[in-house]
Amino acid sequence: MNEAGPEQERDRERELEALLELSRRGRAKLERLHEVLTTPGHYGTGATPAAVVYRENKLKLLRLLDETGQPRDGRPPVLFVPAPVSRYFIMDLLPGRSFAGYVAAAGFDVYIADFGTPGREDRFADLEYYVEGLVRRCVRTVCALTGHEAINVVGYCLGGTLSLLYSALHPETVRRLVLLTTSVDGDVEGGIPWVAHRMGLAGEDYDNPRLVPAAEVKSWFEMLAPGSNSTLGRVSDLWDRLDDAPDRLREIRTMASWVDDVVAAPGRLLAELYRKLGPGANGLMKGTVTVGAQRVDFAEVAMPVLSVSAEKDTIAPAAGVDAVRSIVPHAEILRLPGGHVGIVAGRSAAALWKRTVEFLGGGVSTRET
Amino acid sequence: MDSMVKNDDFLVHLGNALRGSLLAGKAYPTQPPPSASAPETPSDDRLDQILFAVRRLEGEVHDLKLTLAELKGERKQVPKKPRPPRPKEPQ
Repeated sequence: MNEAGPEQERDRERELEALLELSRRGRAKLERLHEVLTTPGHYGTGATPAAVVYRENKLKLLRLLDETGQPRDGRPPVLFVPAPVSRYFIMDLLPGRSFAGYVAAAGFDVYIADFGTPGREDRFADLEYYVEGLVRRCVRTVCALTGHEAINVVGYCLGGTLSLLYSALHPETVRRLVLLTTSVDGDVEGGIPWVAHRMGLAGEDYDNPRLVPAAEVKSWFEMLAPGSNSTLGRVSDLWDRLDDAPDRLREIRTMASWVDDVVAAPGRLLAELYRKLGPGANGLMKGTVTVGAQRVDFAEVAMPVLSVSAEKDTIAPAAGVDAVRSIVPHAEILRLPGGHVGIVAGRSAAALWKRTVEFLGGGVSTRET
Repeated sequence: MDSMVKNDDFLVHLGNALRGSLLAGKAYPTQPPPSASAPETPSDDRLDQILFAVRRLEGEVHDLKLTLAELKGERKQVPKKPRPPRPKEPQ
C-alpha cells in the first residue's frame, strides 16, 4: 500500500477545503433563497396608497393619495395607462421605485388605470371597447372629479397605443401626452407583434375569439430572448443572483413578480391589433387605422407629445417607437439607455421620471435622441 | 423542514424558484394539460357574449351619468338673469 507523501497530503487538504468552501457558499445561497421566499414581500399591488374612484368590468381607476390619505389636487391630473396584457403595478412598483409615486410627489394628481385580469367573456373586447370605452371613461371620470377639461395622459407599451388613438379621437381632452416604449411602426422587425406573428397570432380569430391564456402570452415574451429565458438559463441566473443581499433579492422578486405575472388577453383585441397595426398592415404609419367606425386622423394630435424609447428594448424596438415622428411630427423623441422595463422601473429609471415631470409641467424640451 | 413541505405557499414559491423565477403570490403561468380544458359549447359562447354585452352597457350607463352630471354643472354655471323690477303696485 502506497502512503501519500506530504505534498499529496497538502493537495488533498486543499481540495477538501475548496469543496467545503463551495458547500458553505451553496448553503448560504440556499438560506438566502429560503429567507426571501418566506418573507412576505411587496407584490401584486401598487406601492402608493390609492383609492378606487371608478370601477367598470375588471377595470379599477386608482387615484393616488398623499401621506395624509388625501388626493392631491394641486397640479393638473395625470392618467397612467399601462398595457392591458400586464399588471398595472409596474407604474407603482416599490416605495422609492415608483414612477407614478414620483409624479405624484411632484404635486400632480395621479390616476392609474388597472385593467385587471380579463375573464372568459372579455375575449370579445375589441379596440373600440378599450379606447372609446375604458380609456375614454377613465378620462371623463378624472375630468368630472377634478373639474379639468383636459388632463395629461401617460401610456406605457400597448397602453401607449390606446392613449395615442384616444388622443387623436378626443384631442380636446388631452393636455399633454407621454408615450412610453409605444411601437407605431408595425413593419419594424422584432418585438412582440413579430414574435406573435411567428408564433401564429395571425390565426387568432376575430369573429370567434378565445381568451388567450397567460402562459401563451408569456411564451411570446420568452421567445424575445431565447436561451436567457429558458428554464436552465433562468435557474442559473437566479443561482448567481443568490449572492446578492436579501434586500436586493426582494427588489428582484418584486420585479420578477411583475415580469412573470402576465395576464390572459382578449383574442379579439389581439386579432384586431394584428390585423390593423401588425406587420404588413401597419395602420398607424399608413394612417388607415380605425377604432370602431371612426377613422383615426393623427393630424388631430396637436397637444405636446413626448415619446420615449429604450435602446435595448426587445419588446418594442426603438426604431419602431421613434417612428412616431412620422405621424406626429412635433413629438419630442427621447431615447434612453436600458430596456423596456428598466427605463420605467429599473435602477436608472429616474432619468425618465425627471424628464416626464418636466414635460408635464410644461418644461423646455431637451431634444435628446 | 416538515412544516415547509406542508406549506402550500412555500411549495408554490419553491416551484417558481425551480423555474428560475422569484414570482411571488402565485404559480408561474403554465399551459393547463389538454384534458383540463373542457370543449366550449355554443351555449357557453352565447352566455359569454351576453355577459360581455352587459358589461358594455354598464359602461354606457356610466357615460350617461357623467353626461347628466355635466349638464347639471353647466346649468349651475349659467348666470341667473336679474329679475326685472316688480311693477309698483298702485297705492
